[in-house]
Amino acid sequence: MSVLLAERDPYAAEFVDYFLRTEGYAVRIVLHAAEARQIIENEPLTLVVVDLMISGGDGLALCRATRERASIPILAVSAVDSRDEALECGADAFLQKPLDPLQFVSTARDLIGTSAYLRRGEQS
Amino acid sequence: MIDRLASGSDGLDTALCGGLPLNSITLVVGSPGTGKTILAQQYLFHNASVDRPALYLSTVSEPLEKILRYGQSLDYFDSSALGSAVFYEDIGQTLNNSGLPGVLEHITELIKQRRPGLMVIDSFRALQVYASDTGAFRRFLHGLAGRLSAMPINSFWVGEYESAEVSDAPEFAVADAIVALSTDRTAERELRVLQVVKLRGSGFQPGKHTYRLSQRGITVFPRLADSSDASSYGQMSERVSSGVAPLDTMLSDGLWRGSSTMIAGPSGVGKTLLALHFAFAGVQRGEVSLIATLQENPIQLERILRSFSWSLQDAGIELMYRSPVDLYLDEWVYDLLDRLKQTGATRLVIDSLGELRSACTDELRFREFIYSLLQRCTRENISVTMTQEVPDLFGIGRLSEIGTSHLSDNVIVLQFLHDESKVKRAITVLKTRGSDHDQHVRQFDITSEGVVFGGQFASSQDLR
Repeated sequence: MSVLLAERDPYAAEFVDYFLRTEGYAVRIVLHAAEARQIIENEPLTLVVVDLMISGGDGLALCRATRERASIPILAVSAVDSRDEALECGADAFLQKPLDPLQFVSTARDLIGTSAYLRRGEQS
Repeated sequence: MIDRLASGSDGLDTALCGGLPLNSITLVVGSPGTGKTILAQQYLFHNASVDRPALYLSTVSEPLEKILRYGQSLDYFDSSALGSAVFYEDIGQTLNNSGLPGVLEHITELIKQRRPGLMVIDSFRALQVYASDTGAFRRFLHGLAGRLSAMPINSFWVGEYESAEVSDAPEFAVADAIVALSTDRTAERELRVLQVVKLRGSGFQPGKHTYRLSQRGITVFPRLADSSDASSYGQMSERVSSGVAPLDTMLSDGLWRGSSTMIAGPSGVGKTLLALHFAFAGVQRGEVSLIATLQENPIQLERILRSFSWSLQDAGIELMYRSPVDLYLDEWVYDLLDRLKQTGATRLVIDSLGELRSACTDELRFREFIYSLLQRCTRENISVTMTQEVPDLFGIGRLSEIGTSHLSDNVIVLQFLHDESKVKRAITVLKTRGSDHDQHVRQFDITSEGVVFGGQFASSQDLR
């Protein structure tokens, strides 16, 4: 259950990482869009969280590239209300920063389809 | 559209044009005893919930025990919220043991564990001395602001800063909002004043707003200073009686409804009585008249009224008595506006402008205040009569010094005149806006019937 967190702000990344881990998700944090692209191409992921302002505003392009390659759920986040643009570029959902922990975790869980704990239960 | 955080004080939210921007960093600054901690705690208890709890972090300025002991005596303090919606933590120990890096780590953990919607750091000023140099403190500020901005947290940094520090201390640049609390002193009189120094992304009401600290916490009275309002309103083209028929004749059939009238004259000449005629004339027509007095208390006023066959008990008469001692101008005016609204009064007597002026340290501010009040009344079609004492007992040399005379639509002057061994009273309509008036000086007396007009003065009468 791996979540890729492509986030430019290390403080926001630290908190989101913590909230996802407490829910049972494994998280990989990247602070640059190029690094995110490599991981998306090469590794299995259950969710990609994209800060639209990553790498100077490369987030929309990253959403588009992710959508073209795979059907992984994409959660776009930004301090600026860019919901329409994000959805147009392939994101499945958009949340405006600062992120409310409950709302964020709930949205992530909805996008993945079920909680990591439940899925683990199904596998066993 | 910026989402706002309410304070629990309507007046403060008005001064902030709706409240603090949501998820902002607010610096609350002021000298000891100005109510900084009360203001911060009021925000906390007003907004905290189990889902979005509040964290109060004390540093090394005041022991947490003491903050709690005094805090619990105030109305907003809800002890049932402690431990569920409001958490108090002492980070002084961390600060002493691990310095600012330790504080950052401690706060980060608290954010993760508690997921707070609000956070107070009190005293923030005390943190500075733990930095080895300015660079270290700036790094700490950057790290703290970064963490707080990453989460939906409204934070309050409370500190005893001097006014000179506003331009130098780096936290003033980092803060989204700055609220300064202070005390203005004039002779033996003290006035608590709040100023919004900075509010990122939003307008605010500039200038000094008075406030009081009480059991209820902090109550702010935003400075009444309305800018001009060009929007139209239902102005009534109706004349209303002054309550004295010959004066109505001098005024060309009374006064415009919604107009303001100043009655100026020396002490004892009959200003209050003439204003009371105006109030009771309204009552006779079925209107409600509000008498806002800063002079006679209700018992004294009732005794005066009885001698003219009037009473405060008469249907339609409303009284708002306030002592001129320790008067806060804006507190008074919001009480007045509330009473006008509650009672539906269409006539207002203010007795007197002199007492109100004494409560204001600044002439220009007083003119703004009167202008705003009269504009609000005229837009509601409330007719206002104000009394103004002048220092000259005989012959009034100047009215221009009474800075508000030009703001009144109508000015009526009452005078004492010498007449051999007697003193006579004289009335003159000096100014009427939007109507004609009789320019003669008329004699009047005060009898049990109230103001009773006599004839015109003989040409030999010295009118100075």
